[in-house]
Amino acid sequence: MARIKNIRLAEGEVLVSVTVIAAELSEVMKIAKEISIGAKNAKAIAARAGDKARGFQPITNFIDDMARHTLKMVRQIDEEALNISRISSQEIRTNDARRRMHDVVRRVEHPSILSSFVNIVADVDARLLELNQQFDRRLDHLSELLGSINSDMRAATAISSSCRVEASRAEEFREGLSVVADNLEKAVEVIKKHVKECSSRLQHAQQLKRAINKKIKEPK
Amino acid sequence: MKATTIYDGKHQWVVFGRDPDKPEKIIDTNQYLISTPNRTLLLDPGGIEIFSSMLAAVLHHVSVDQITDLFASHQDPDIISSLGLWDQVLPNAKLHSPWLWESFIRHFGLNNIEYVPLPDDGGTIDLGELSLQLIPAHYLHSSGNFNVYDSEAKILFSGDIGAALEADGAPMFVDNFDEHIPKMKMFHQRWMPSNRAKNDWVNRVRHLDIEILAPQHGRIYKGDDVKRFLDWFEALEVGTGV
Repeated sequence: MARIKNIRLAEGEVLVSVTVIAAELSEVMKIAKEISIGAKNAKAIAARAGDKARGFQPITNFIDDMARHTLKMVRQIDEEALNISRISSQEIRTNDARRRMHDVVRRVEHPSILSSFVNIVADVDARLLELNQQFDRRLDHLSELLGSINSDMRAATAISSSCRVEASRAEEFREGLSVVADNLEKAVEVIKKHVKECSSRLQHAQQLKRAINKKIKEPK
Repeated sequence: MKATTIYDGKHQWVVFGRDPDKPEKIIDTNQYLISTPNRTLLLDPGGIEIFSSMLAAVLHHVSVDQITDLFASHQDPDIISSLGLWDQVLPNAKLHSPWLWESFIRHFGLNNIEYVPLPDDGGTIDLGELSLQLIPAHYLHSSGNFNVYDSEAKILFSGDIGAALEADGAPMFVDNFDEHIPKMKMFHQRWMPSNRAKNDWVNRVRHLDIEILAPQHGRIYKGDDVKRFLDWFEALEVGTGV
């Protein structure tokens, strides 16, 4: 588990980690769009090639579907990362309020003075817990979405091999279709790299979050 | 945080300040509480860094559900950057503050408290048994700025007017006006931009019956020192930063 010295700094780090995921994936979105356009071009080449590229035609449909699915996932991740970032900001503010309210409780010498205040402190504690649970749920969802892109990329790797085989049979269209396979392979590698980076940031955020929660629960 | 009752009649005025727990390099501030039997108003409740000390000190005088109103004379962080925290503690309260600053002050975090925008020519804050007059003090120093006058207690909360830069733990009241001048001269000359606004304010305030002039920084003026301050301020050239 990550070890933290300063809760406030760690909270800021979590916020940055999840916010950066959205930025990181904007590159994936760009590449997925290029794959989709590439698939449409390949479809046109395959149509011109006719029987010589018969095996290639269903592959281009598959590539296009996969690119669309990846785009959909990236948009969802973008939205989810923004939601998490908002929750994280709220959590930081609520945690700050909670810290300061507990400080008030420590400073007031006579417990009777606090009678009207304890409910407010309890409300803030409950709000923080709710935000915490929301954060965890959404982080798990984000992890699933990233997993889904990874599955797409595994499928895409297999498709690029099939592309290459089908391209080799396409005679004079061989070169044009080989380019499609090459481009797909390169794009998949780049997307995998970005997704790996996002997963690593996500994992870091999850570890930090667990460490923060543990530290908050520690007795003063 | 030190709490001093400055008026104790049908309603009370308490000033909070000289916080020993205040982080270094943060200007010391005076926060005021006016409590009637059913309502409590906090004047310029202060910045984030003093929130805990301030709330803990306030709870020794009133319970949290008695705090119904906040007043922010203007938008500065030492006045109201604690708003996001009060917003979580007093979700049903009202914040009375210049209309000019509403969209700016909301940046401090305002989700629950109701913002009551004060028009340029002032008005009143009604606390049930007590009505407080809002005295326009624009450009002294903020371009949208108000003082609060209590005709019953004869107290004028003057915000940054009359403020002084003091060492930590300074006394709460001015005891020697002449010795106090060097502590407030630069503050007024540099932070206040307009001689016209200053003279207009002095002319209006001279018509009020004031026993105590209570600024947001430094010491409080009582009795004859109030007139001494008005005379001194009227003669002072301000806006000297250019």
